[in-house]
Amino acid sequence: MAYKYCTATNWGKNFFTHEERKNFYLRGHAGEVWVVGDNHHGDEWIGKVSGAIKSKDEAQAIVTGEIEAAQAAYDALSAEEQVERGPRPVKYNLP
Amino acid sequence: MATYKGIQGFKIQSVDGDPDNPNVGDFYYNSKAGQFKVVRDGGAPIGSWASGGTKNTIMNDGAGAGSNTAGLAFGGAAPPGTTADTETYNGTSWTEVNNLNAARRSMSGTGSQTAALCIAGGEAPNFTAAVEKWNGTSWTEVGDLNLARGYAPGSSGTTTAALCFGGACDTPSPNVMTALTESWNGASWTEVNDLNTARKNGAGAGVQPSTLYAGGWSAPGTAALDVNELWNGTSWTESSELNTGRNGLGGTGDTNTSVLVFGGSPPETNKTESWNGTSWTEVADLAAPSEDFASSATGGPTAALRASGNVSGARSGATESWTAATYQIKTVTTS
Repeated sequence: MAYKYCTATNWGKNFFTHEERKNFYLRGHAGEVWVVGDNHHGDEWIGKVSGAIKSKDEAQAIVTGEIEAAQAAYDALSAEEQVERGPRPVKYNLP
Repeated sequence: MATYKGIQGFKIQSVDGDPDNPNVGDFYYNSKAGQFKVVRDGGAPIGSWASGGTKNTIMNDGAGAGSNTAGLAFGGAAPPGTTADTETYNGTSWTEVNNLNAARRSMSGTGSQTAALCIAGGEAPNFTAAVEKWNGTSWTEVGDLNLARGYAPGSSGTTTAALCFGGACDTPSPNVMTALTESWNGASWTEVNDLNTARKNGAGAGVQPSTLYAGGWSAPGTAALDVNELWNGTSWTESSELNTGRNGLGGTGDTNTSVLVFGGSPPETNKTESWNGTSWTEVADLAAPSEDFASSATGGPTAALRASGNVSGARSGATESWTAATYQIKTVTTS
């Protein structure tokens, strides 16, 4: 499956609808990065939310940076707070 | 040539549009569309998540109750401290209502928008046994648990018959999870049979005599759990495991035979699974990976709510609402 990448701020109700979720792939990531199925429905959604198009590398850099920041915040927690928080955040690759 | 009447003993009904409340298995001719139609099962396999209204107070590790059209969210961590904030959800937007008497995080919530419990929680080494009851307007302190516990224990049921299980205790250490289970009769808590696997921050769903507790986390340095246990009113039994083990997930269901679980970590996931009493099925994902959010308690696989929490790596007020029709109308084709 081909994807497009963008950043967009979720404004709440109707940012994405049930109908849209059935028409194209949509996955949110750290840093307000959205991975969007590359079809005309996805293109329409990017236009609707005024998404700023990113390359995959640009999107990955945003996500990785956010996770690294979260890891640093996790590492700064006390042992008790880390137990409260649960497992440490982990990096991953965008599809 | 065989006819439908000859095979089935009756003619196909002709209607001028799709009926509003068809029965699963119905077969008819839609004369307006010029098509044969059949009514199939709906539920979780055809459900999806959509964005909902943004919660006013952004928090993580809060709790929830109610459904996706009549929801309730309360408490949580809202740096620099914890919050007593309580909000109701009407399917579109969140409204501030009367706060908890005591701000707290990592508690458990169960019940409806008009009758809910806020159970235990707090921060180590000062977990609380306190329980508050919501009557639709305000919170009242009611009987304490026998055992103070935090780190998001699980719960199920109503304000008159509830269950609280798991979490962590101050003694011997907050690093040691508990398997202790307590039952609420509307006035007081009684210790009952323990979980098989001590853990925190799993998804509890159902009612007092029919509860499910899935996922969670048992100890530092270990992976999130895929464990699933069922409560029959007397004891816990291990059942089929989640497809994806996780901590900090949400769950909703009216019994332990019909449950939807979603989100969790690590890494933060958007995976959603539906439980039919026997096995888990992966269904449509959340749009945004999420953990430690407030979850609806009722509605199960046809109506769920995921509110605020850690969303895509950051504390957020974002909400997603799950809807699945109970049936689907399919057009009969020749292929």
